[in-house]
Amino acid sequence: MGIKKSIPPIDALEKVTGRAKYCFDMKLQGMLYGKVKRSPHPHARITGIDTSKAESHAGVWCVVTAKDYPQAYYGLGLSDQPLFAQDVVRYVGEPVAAVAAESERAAEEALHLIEVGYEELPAYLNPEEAISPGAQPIHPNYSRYKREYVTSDLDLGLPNVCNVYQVKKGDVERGFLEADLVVESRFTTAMIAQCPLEPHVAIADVDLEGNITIWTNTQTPYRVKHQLCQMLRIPRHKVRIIVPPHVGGGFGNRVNMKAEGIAAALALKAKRPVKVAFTREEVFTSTTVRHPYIVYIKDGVRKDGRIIARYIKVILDGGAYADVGYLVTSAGSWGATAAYDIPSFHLLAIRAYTNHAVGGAYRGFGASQLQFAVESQMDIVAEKLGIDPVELRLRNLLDRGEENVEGKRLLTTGAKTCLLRAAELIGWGKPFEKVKGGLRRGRGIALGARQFVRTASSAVVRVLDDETIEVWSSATDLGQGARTIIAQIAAEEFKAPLSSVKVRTVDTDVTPFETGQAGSSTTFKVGQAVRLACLDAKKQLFDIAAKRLDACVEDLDMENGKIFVKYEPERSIRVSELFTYIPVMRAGPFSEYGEIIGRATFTPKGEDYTAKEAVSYSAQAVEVEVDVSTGSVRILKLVNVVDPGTPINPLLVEAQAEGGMCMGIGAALLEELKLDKQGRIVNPDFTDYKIPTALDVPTLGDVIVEVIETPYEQGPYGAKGIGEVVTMPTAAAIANAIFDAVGVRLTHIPMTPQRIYEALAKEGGAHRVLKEYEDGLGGEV
Amino acid sequence: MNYDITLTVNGRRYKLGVDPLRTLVEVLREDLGFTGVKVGCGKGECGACTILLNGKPVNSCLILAVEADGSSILTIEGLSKDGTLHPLQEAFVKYGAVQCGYCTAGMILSAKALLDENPNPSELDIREAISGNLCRCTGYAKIVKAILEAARKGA
Repeated sequence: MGIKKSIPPIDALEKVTGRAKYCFDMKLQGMLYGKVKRSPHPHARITGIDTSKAESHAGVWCVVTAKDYPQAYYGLGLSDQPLFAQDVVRYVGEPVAAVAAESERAAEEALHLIEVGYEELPAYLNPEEAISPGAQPIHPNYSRYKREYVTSDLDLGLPNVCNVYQVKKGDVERGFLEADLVVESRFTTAMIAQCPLEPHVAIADVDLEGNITIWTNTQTPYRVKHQLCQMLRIPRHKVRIIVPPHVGGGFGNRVNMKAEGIAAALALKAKRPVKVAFTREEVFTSTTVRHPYIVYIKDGVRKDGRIIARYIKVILDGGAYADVGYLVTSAGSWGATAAYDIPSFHLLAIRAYTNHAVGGAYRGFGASQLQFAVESQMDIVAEKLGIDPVELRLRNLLDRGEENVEGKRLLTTGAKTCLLRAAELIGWGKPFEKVKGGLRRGRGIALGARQFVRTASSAVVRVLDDETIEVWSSATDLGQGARTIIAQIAAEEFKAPLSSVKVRTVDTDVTPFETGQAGSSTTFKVGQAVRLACLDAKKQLFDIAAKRLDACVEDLDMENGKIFVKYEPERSIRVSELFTYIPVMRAGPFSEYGEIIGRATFTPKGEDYTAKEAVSYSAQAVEVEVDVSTGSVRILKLVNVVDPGTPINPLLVEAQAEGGMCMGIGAALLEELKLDKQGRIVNPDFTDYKIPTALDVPTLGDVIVEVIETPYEQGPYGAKGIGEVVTMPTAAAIANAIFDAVGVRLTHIPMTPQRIYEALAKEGGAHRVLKEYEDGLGGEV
Repeated sequence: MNYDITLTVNGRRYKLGVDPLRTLVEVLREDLGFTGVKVGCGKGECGACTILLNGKPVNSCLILAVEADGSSILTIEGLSKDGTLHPLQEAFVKYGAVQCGYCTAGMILSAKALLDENPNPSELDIREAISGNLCRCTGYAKIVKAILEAARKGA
């Protein structure tokens, strides 16, 4: 029972036996298969679509285009994305039409029979060019798009600006004048993909009254419901979203509507259930990608290592549409605002429209790219000042109670402990073998710090006469273990065995509102909602039990299904005894109160949707080996010290930390969606887009995860969110280690062997490094 | 036109008429209901559809069903016997080597093929054996630990 226990995921057994059913595995009676015709051009006007041949193809039930859904736009904050391209296509892979047919093959064949005429338009493939004065707008109707929740007042007067976010404190210009040293850098990150293993899939079914039921593997069920209703202009009650208990990974790629809208459009027209399962190629090109970043940092520093002024300009390549990018623009800034105490600070983030694939959510929500820049910059500053990188960070660290650059007083601790412990575990400052022939070794460290999203969440807890505790929540389990955490919390509150808790399937007709699994928020907000709903249900049980036991509610407690008087435990009654059957009809069971249903909505204090005063930490230290003759990097050792507040399940925190680092290695060294001159992704598959395999991560003893505990008052039992911060500092830690090894600063990720080799060549090449060795400059430090 | 084939899946014989263009993974999932065999890419790149074909690990999305005629197949559904978990399955649960679970079946079957051939694998042997099975969640550490433990227990 309960929290702070390392328990394997509650659904592990179903998964190791192949019994777990995913959305991809589902079939409905009479189901059709949907396929999508997509744009081959980055930017073009549609001159005509002829669907007649496709419609008469054997097995085809219907074809849908923008003609069927004119003005069907969606987005988060900014509804700029059409369900099917309306007159203009803005990226390669944009949906133009879709087909529903009796088999996948018939649908695929029909796609080839759809004739689309295009007139190509100039494409913007560089975000800085797209927002240059004089550039043609990619969205001429931008100002007429529907907006909600989030808007920016800042008008830069530049074309193709999707969103702007700014943080300002003090006077950076004065800071630069007062500084002993000004350090300026530019960093860039490649376009990369989330790559959940289960492709996106949605099955839509429509009844005679036009009620739409969708089974989907989304990570934001209520948001999909909202977007569908808005896009189709239908009331809320008409859309029901069901998410199977098992979803094959998320990492942000399932935030917002993806296959659901297309499936619904086809099902409405075909009047049959339709399944739309994306191919792997579609997942790469036509869902969302991680925004490529260009980051300019200018620091004003004092000789003692204090950063007194920092200016950061971020250009996000947002691609063709907003998706969730409206939020990434602001939430991404946390990668620069959470960790350090900087008197004068100015951050300006501009999300540019381009004709690239759409930038969306990716574990870290934009903060990872920025943290790569900031944590690399910390080492650049440290080197210039001749101060140890760990020491430099400590001198600038924001402490509990201090105001961050956004004017919020920090309520959490943990950064310092994480940093020092990570340094200790890697052997920071201790001598190690730096040179071995053409191989050079180096160590690097970086601090991950991230606020987490704190939106509202509701939960319902129903207690049954067999003492089962049912939890109804709309939190999706993407593999992170949401259902396990929920079960542990309910078990803790009822002091009952874990096996007595049943976490019900997400179904918006039944399970209550929940914002979705994004922004490292689930344990925090869903955890709180479940805890409070348990308290509500318990109160109802105690009210009845108090009468039966002739005791005060305040004097009661419960354990393992037994409610008892605290000071006289033998005065007790079982939960099952609180339920009775109506004798004649054997109807029931009912308690005196009818059903025992506890409910709660957790709304965090404050108006911000972010807990800007609460930060989770992950300090990572790494030892690498660079082969100077090839530029290839091997990771020898990886340390991750994580601060999740109170770990509800240390095993799952550890699992997040290990997985997060692995994803971080991918982004740092391997992963890059390559674009040709037409903005086409040329490697939309796992052969040419490399994610880490079991051979790309260090061996067991060399991956060290430690979980520290620093309870956070507002979290459930002190817990904070952890899912994203664990992947954020990896790239910078590796870049810093490469610098330590070969004295070359890489400012672009991924740091591929080619880029490292070229950087070495610029700095005198492998010869210099080898010569240093021969001259005896290398060796032990 | 359909071709008649015979498959032995998890010890049970099936006689089927299949379209020669259909892949083995399609037939296993759609016709026989073995949805424990997963589809992640359909191109032999991710390993989620790994099965044991006559004892050898293969990507079932790269094999036509007719090519498998007469062969003996093990899917994840056939690994536990009479409700008793295979030591690999047990170890995967114990170590929490499972997150989203989409790669799990393929991962376990690749590991089984390794242990069948090499009962005392080194960590590197294990990493090589599962290097064709992509996992985006775990970072592989718990998976490798679980396989090592299963090997120790003589899986």
